[in-house]
Amino acid sequence: MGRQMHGGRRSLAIATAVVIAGGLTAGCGGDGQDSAGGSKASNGAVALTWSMWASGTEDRNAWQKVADQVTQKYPNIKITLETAPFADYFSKLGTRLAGGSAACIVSMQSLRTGGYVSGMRPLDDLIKKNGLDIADFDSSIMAGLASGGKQYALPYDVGSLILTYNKDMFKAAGVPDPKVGWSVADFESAAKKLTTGGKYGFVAYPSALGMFSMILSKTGAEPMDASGKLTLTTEPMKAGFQWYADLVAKQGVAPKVPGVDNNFTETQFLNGNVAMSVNGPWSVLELKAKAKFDVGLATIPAGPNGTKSYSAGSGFGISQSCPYPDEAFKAVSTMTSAEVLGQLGSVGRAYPARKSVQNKWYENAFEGSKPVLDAANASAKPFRTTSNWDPVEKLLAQYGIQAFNGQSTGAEVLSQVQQQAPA
Amino acid sequence: MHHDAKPPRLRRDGRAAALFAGPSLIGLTLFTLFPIVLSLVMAFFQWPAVGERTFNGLENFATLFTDPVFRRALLNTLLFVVLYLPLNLIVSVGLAVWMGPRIKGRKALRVVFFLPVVTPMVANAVVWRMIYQPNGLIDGSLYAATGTHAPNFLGEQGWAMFAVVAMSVWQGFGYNMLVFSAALDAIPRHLLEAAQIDGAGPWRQFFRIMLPMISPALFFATTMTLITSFQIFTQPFLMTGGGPGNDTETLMMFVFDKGFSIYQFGLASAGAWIVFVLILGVTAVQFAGQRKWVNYDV
Repeated sequence: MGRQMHGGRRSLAIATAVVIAGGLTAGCGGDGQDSAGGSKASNGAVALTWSMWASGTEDRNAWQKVADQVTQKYPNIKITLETAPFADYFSKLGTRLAGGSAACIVSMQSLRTGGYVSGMRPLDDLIKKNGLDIADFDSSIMAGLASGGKQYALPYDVGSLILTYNKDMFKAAGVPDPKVGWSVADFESAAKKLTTGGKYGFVAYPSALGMFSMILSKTGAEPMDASGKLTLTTEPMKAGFQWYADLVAKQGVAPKVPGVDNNFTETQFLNGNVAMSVNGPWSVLELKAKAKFDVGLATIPAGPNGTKSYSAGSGFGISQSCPYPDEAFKAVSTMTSAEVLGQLGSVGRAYPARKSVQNKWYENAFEGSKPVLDAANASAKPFRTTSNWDPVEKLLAQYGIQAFNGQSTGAEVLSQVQQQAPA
Repeated sequence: MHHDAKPPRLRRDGRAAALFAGPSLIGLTLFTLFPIVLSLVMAFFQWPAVGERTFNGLENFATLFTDPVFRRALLNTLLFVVLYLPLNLIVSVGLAVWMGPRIKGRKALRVVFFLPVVTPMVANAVVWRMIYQPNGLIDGSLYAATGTHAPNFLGEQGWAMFAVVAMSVWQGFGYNMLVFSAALDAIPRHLLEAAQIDGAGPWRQFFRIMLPMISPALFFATTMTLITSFQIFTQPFLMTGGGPGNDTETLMMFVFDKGFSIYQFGLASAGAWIVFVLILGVTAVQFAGQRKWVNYDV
């Protein structure tokens, strides 16, 4: 072989080596000072990224305003907003936390906090250092965003689950509007009367928060015990789950579930195909704006021990890999300040997690919503989850459908989910 | 001649070649080779999203083969392949033959049949969900016509996989149809005319002349379709989420779940390599068998 050929081959080899080395460094990147989460300019200005879920341009613009408010207060902090649809947000977040390339400010939902704490920074020392008064935050959602005694995020919204109902359908069927504290029997008889002419009284779907709120009120069963273990196979849970599934399978007061479809309850309700659905206050005002009928609110129907409900909410935390936690904390405390939350509340974007500004939400809400939400908040407990909740949620939908469509018993479904859920 | 005495032009050619190959080589290494090698490494590690990564030998593979959900996903994938591949080929060959040169507007028809291939899968899945769901197109029109309800295709065990296969055939046959259509057009007319004169009927012409003549295209289409059907993911992911139960959970969905729902990257990589080996094996068998039935003579 000639030297010339060697020369050609050598330059190829060098190119390959450079590329592989480049690839390795790219793969292992993220722990440098200029990681994806933030950067500092020579004049001391800090740019931070913030990842958030948003369902459209309007949603995104609302959050962009929040980001701008941080810069207004701290001109040296610039926030770049990154959004993803809610359904994809957590898959993305997990992968990016794992790669050390997560945004500096990450949005977190109370249900899922436990699963992501290893990539997030506890905020307790920063709260203390900055002397932030946290007494104004609703305590149930503060607990929901904490794990193992550490606070991982500051909440922006909170909400206890309630029922939304189609006032026009109630009127047409001659069913009186539900009263605060109405019972399961009242609910079932209303649902029966409303199920007529291809329309249904209620919509049931095996999604955790809504379903477990109904089961909690009906039998008092909870999906998790005090030690954080999944307890889906207890007798009260089996009974409650079977009852909920039978609203579709046996009583026929809710439409058949057409496979896994996370938007099922919302589309059914907005299409005017069903008269009632379980919802959180965070989606109520948007629902009201979209619906072509009058929307009303009702408490979760009361079982033998009175009405009960779960509360959940979301907040903002800081990723472990964030190089500028001090600046990020300033941003997070601005984003959850009374001023910002009051604004979010008055446009209906969120039911504020700060008690002092919750009244703002009602300015835009409809008549009769306050007594319902007050009753729901008084009866609600935070929805706590296992440390690895996403798979449970997915399994519930996948297997739950079989019970809802009457192809398996509730007990079989629950034991499948319990068995397959990661410990 | 001494081997060092090559013209200097060759040296320059080598450099120029490296320069031209550089960009795509960089891309190939960065986005293909590096991830492939890394995923092979990961398959032998316990590789959680955050925290300690430990070498665990073949344990990931052992875990997978003892996991009833993985075995079910394997069976589901095989079932999908066994149903999808013949259906796809029958529909695409059938339509390609039907759209012979004498059909009016065949160009327009080709475009129409090719449309599902180029429309986004997400949109297709949404539309098909509306077709399948209770009160949807099928159920609604059946109820209006006969007063009986259609099955809840995507939500009922026993139906969901067939619903996914039917949608996938609709989505995928257009590509193969184009390939076959071109191959059929390339058959010399005199062959078919001679057969006709000799008294061969349409079926005889099809089986004795057309099929052997398009066998290279058939081989290409079978191989490519088989590979993509083992990787079936998007259709069940969007339409059924693997449900009801795990009736439509496929291997790639299993891998996705392990990787991006519980962040067990080692387990997910092991699963992906099993799929790869499976595809490699089946493709090798096909290549070995092709000598018997693929005809490259004209």
